[in-house]
Parts: sequence; structure tokens; C-alpha cells
Amino acid sequence: MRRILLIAVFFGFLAAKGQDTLNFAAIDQKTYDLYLKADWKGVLRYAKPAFKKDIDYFYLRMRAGIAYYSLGKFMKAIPHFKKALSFNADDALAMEYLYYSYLFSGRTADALAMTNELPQSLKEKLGLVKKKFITGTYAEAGPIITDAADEIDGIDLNSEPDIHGEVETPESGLYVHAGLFLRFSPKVSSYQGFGNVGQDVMQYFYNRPLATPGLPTPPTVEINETYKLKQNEYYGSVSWRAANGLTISPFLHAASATYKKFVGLSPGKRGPINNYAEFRRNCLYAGIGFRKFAGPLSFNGNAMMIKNPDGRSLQVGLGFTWYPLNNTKMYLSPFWSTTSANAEDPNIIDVSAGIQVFKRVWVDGGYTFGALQNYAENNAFLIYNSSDRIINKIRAGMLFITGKFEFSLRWQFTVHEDNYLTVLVPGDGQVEVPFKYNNQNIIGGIKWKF
Amino acid sequence: MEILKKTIVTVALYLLPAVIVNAQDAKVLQAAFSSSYTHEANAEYSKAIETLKGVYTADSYELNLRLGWLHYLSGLFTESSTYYNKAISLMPYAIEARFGVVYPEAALGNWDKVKNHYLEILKVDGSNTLANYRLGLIYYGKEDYNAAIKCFEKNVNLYPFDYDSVLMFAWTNFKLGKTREAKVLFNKVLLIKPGDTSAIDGLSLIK
Repeated sequence: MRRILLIAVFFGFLAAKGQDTLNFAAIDQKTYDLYLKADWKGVLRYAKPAFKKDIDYFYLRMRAGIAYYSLGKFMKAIPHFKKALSFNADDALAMEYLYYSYLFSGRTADALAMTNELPQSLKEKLGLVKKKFITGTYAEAGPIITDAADEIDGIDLNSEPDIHGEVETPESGLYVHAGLFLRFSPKVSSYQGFGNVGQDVMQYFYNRPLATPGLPTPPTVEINETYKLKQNEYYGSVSWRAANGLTISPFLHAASATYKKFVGLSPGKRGPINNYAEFRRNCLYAGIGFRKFAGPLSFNGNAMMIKNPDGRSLQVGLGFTWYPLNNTKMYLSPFWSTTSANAEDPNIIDVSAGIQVFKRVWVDGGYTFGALQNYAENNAFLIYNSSDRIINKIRAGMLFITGKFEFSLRWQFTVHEDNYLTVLVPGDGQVEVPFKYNNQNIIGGIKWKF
Repeated sequence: MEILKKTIVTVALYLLPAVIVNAQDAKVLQAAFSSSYTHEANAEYSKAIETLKGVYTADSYELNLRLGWLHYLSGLFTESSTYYNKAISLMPYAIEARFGVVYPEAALGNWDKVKNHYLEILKVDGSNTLANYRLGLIYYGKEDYNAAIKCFEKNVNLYPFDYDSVLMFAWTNFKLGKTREAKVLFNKVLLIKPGDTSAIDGLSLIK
């Protein structure tokens, strides 16, 4: 009984002490002292229970916000600075902290949307006085390396009983892209870019006509040559900061590929002639995307219509990014897409992750699986409009940020699936035999913010 | 008639305990307030608060107002604000509770709330010089001189010989680039308070 009484007294004492420490004066004094000592965790140890007890005022919100900011937890600092501004809307220090918290949380659109509300002196301090229309530029380029030729090496397409064999395999190529970042208003910005892909394609064509009684037998045709594929691209997107933390982005990617290749024999005055034809393959990806930040998460998604010579299809995607450290130093980002282009295998899953390894250096990697054909990612900035099907994609990258420049280096490894065609003697029909090959893209990029 | 008399006596008997209780309550309340003034005079704010909390009823404007003030004096600003706000909700058209709540709100840095309370006061009493002056100062501090000048101008029209209002009116005119008006006003300040350093500073900037 006595022990129970002692415990009761002890807990009663603790409860009384707990109540004492949670009055305004104690909280204010304690958090102020800890703030002056830059004991950020200490500030938060007292501030968090105080907010739960409705002890909530400008200075305490500022201390909590600055504590999170100083601990590098910018995403957690944001709501405190916003609340502080709800107590004192014109406080320049709270505005400045909120501006940088947005920037360091990757919420550039929210930071820029504040511009009109900032006092002139703060605008000058942050370098936001001059309204620029062109705010930056971006360029990227890199080679496309493939082992497709090796994969079909040894495949027999021209021996009996085959009467016909065909295969096309990509060879080396080069990708270039450049664009401009534009700003129409603090809440509306845009990216406009143009690109080009140039790739050699090896074409093998074999045809051994069968003899027809009473008629001269046409000659056997065997073509083994390379043609050039050129694809010009336009990409444009508009980013509208619709509400706090919410960005809506319509986008358009148009690509036009042209190439000239051998298509068979044509009768000529002096006998059959090799016949070449020019092809144009136009593709259009148009849609709308969104991103919504909520604490250490950002949800994103898009819906787009895809139109190309294969037909029309619809792609919808949803995903999120989790920032476990409440900043951009580490993230994990799964994204699910489904496309009507491939009814048998419509789902595509992409998982990527990144981490800051040095002060200015980030590394990231990702894996995508599913049928990547007539598919687009990153609000259609990247499109997969080849006639081949990509079944796996692994990527890794590095980003180096210094001042106004961002340098990136990305490596992408894709596993492709294509078919070669053989036709046996009449009656046995034609056979499309699948084969796989691997592509590697190495892309270097430079972003320059004016 | 007899019945009527009986009824009156009966009602009076029934009401008597309530009247006695109210009279007792009033005495207890008066004693508590009196004690709280004594404690306050001795800077014993906690004791003053405890005394009033002993007789506290949430629907008493006077108790909430007084507790708001005593909590403010003892440095418990959030608690002070809570009591003042209760008083405001009990008597929404009373401006004294709003003049009280601005103290803890200002101490907490909640300047938007302070500004809103002054605006509410001015809705009830548009010519309130204290509210106009303090609101003018808030606007001036936020470099919103167009809003500030309206507040100071109203005060100067009502009290053309008031030092504080004329001085701030002069400075606001100066900030808005109205140097001719500012010069006249700074000179007027020197009539109210000869040798005033702020007015002399202002005039030196104009010359």
C-alpha cells in the first residue's frame, strides 16, 4: 500500500511538473535560451508539446522553424514559417526563411510564387528585383551504344530452305537536346526544347525467288547495308503553380523520324532494280501532369494521349517521392504507369532513389520494368517510340551543382526485344523469331540558371 | 385578494434564498477583486491570479478581463490572450478588452492580430485616437505609408496640437515625398515641443 502511495505521489509530482513546464512563460523562456545556444533539438523538444497545448505564437513558430531549418529539415520548417507568417504576415525574416525552405525542399515553384509578396528590400537581397523572361538554359547530349549487331551475328537468314530473311538492327547513334527555361509570371513558367537523335541502322535483306516453270527466274537479292535514321523532336511544358505545393503542368512532345531504306525489287526497263523508299514516323505525346508536396512526400502523376503510326493510346501514371530526411539529400520514388498501347502487358513500374554523397554531388539510380513501347516518362520528356520493345531499364546518374550551373552525367542500360523474319519454302509460312539486344546511353547535361 | 397576498409572500420566500446567495456571491467577488488589487500593487501577480481563479466563472466579462491583465503582467502571454479573447466574445462591442489583448499579442509577435484588433476598435469607434495612432505606427513600421498617413491625418484633424500624431504625420509625409507638407508639420512640432530632436532631424533632411 505504501509503495503504491509512493508511486502515486511520484506520478502526481511528474504530472504537476509536466503542467508547470507547459505554461507559456516556461516554454518561452526555455525555447529562447535554447535558441540562443543553438540547441535546435532542445528547442523542438519544448516547442512540439507546446503547440499541442495551444501555446502557439509568432516567436515560438519562428524558433521551431529556424530549429528545423538549421537541422537541415527544410520540409518540416515550412509549416512553422507559414504559421509564423499567419501571425505576422509582413515579417521579412520569416519570409526569407520560408523562401529558402521552399528552395531547399525542391519547391522552386512555391518559392517563386512568393516573389510578389516580398518587400522590396528582401527582393533586392534575394536578387529577385529584375524580372527575367529567360531564366536559364539546358543542354544534354550523348552517344547511343548497342550490341544488336553482335546478338544477330551467326543467325542464318540466307540458307536453304529459307527463301526470305530480313532483319534490322540499330547501330551507334547520337542524341542531342537543348532548351530554354522561361518565366511568364511568378506562378507560370515554361520549358521549351528541341532535340535530335541520329542513329545508323543495319539492314539485312535476303530474297531467293523460286523458279516458275516457263519463266526466267528472278535474281536472288541480298542487301546488307546501313541507313540513317534522323529524329527531330520538340518538347514544351508549362508549369503553373496552382496552389501552395501544387503544380500543374501541361506538356507536349512531338517527334518526327525520317529514314530511307531498301524495300524490295521493282521491275525496270533493263531488269529488276533495287527499290528504296523514304519513311516518316511522326509521334505526338500530349498530356497533363501534376505534383503535390505534402510534408516529406510529393505525389505526382500524369495522363497523356499518344499518337503515332501504330495508332492512338492512352497512358496514365501515378507515383510519389519520399524524402526521409525532410530535404532533398535522400529520396525514394516509385512510379506506376499503365498504357493502352500494350493490352497484354499494360503495367510499367519504375523505382528510383537518390542520395547526396558530397556537399554538391548527388548520385541516383533506378530500375524500370514492363513493356516500354510507345511509352513516355517524366511528363513525356523521355519518349520510347522505337518499333522495338524495351523490357528492362537500369539507370544511374550523377549530379554536380555549383553556383548557377548543374552538371549531370547519366548512364542508361536498356534491354530491347526485336524480331528477325524468315520465310521458308511456300506452305511453311513466315516465322518471326525474337532476339534481344542491349543499348547503353551515356548522356551529359549542363543546366545554367541565369 | 387574500390569495394574491399569499402568492406574493410565497414567491418572495422562494426568491429570498437566491437574493441572499447573490448578495453573498457579490461580496465574495468584491473581496476577491479587492484582494487581487492588493496583490497586484505588491507585484504578487500569481497570488492575484489564484485569488480570482477561486471565484472564476467563464461567463464573467470582468473576471476574464482582469485575468487577462494579470496574466499579461506575470508574463503568461498566451494565457493572457485566452482570457482577453473570452472577454471579447462575451462583450464584442467593448473596446477595452481589445485594447487589453493587444499587449500580449504584441509580446507574442502576433502583429496581424494586433492590427485586426485595432481595426475592430475603429469599426466601433472610428475616431478613437489611440487605435488610430497605434495602427498608424504599425503601418509606418511596415513601410505602408499610404495606410499610415490616413490614421495620423485623422488624429491630427481631431487634435492638431497633439505632439505624437503631428510628429508621425510629418514623418509619414516625408516618407511619401511630400516634403513641403512635412516641413510645415515639423515646424509645427517645434511649436508644441521646442527643440524636439526628431523634428529637427526631419527638417535637416529636407534642407
